[in-house]
Amino acid sequence: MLGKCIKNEIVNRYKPLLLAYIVQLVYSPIYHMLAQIQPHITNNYIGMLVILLRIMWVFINLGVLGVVFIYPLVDFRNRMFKDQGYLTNTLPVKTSTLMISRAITDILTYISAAIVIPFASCIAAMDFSIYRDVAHYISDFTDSFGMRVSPATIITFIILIGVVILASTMISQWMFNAAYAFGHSFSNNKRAMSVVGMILIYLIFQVIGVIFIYILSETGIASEVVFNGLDNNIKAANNFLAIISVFEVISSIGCIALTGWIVKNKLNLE
Amino acid sequence: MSNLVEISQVEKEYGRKKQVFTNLNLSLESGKIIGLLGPNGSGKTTLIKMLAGLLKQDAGEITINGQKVGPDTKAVVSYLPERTYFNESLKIKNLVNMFKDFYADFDEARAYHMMELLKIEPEMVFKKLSKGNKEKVQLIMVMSRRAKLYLLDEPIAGVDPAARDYILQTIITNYDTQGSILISTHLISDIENILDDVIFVKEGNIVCHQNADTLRNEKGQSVDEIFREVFRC
Repeated sequence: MLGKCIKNEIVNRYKPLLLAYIVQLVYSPIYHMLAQIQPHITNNYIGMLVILLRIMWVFINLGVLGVVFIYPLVDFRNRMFKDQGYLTNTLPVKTSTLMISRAITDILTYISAAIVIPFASCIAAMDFSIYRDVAHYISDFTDSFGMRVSPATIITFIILIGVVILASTMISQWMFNAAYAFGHSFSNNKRAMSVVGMILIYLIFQVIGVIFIYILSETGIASEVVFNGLDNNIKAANNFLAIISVFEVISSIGCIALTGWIVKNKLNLE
Repeated sequence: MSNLVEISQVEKEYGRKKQVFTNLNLSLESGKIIGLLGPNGSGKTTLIKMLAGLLKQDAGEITINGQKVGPDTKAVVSYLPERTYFNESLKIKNLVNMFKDFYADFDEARAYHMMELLKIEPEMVFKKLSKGNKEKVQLIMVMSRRAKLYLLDEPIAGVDPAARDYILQTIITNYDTQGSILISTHLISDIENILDDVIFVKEGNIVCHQNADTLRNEKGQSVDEIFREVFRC
């Protein structure tokens, strides 16, 4: 059933994302062309038009970011709590499966954005050297420590950074989902209760985060890395990132589970 | 016939001010077309939503086919709400594929055949259909399942008389006779001829649950006339 749910999620959500990516990728060479011709334009009106067309690139990028980060929230609301919720919530599927399929689709969305957005930027600049220069940059960075760090260590570092960023994004996304679900479990004042839910959930996770940092510092892991190791020992940084990434992943799973529990036990589609 | 649905001591309220059901008890048999009749606000839709799993009762128990309401009962319950509940940006074929994926009892060929009779193509986008055709497509999808319980919430409200005849004909000719249909409506005269049993709901209470023919013979009136007497303002 999980596979079918993921397929259903993708079918329902892919069109705006695909459209946004296509617009961005099609416009990126146009932007580059505009940047090339702008210095040679003498007519003020045409020059103004070219500037406006170049500014449109900013709005296209903002639009893509909106589709990547805001559309999933809107889709969650529409397909769980608006008219489409009458279909979603009567499917013969466990609530946990629905939530997991949404979370997996969110992850796929973020990964696709991490691939497409930088690539479109490279097309707009007609400069793909970053893909080649990243390796040189990392090599110079490690040489500055006076020692060669193994490629495995560097790759681990990059992967852990990616996991932390991805998990943090998932936490933000699913805190909103949980808050919205909380608000809609009430018969009245749904929006107000959604705001209350957001505040409560945010505070809870802040408290958990503070406790986590306290435990880290008491065990000496954080102090060793932050004060002594982070600058000079990339392996110690990897250890720290590993702990952080585990915490972030568990927190994101907690947000997803909280949302699922509220939907399963407090669904109130009036 | 065994009881398909058992509702026992169910209570439901919306907030503190609106008590919908207090100690509701109801049993529905298999193989029957049952009319859930009552004025607006009597609790018909709330009852149907609890059976469909969209609302949880505050107290009591609801079982369908011997199981509590959940994914297993949703697999044997086919629900048609009184609103458009499909993603309107999808094509008809996407919707059919989704029903085929999730419901083992869905008859794809029957669904496409009925849509073909309405000249609805699989490549059409749902949004582009007329309001009447949207409602018909939703009904076709629901009635193309071999479900044990069909829950139809106001299926003929807001449609023209010709469409009503089509909807009623579709219901009669396509439902699985081993199952039951629970139709909620307040347009009784259009629907009473197809009903086996009737349930009158008044302010959250079951005031009548009887075989339709027996009721008509006892009172010497149509169900519509009896309804007007019972719910006279």
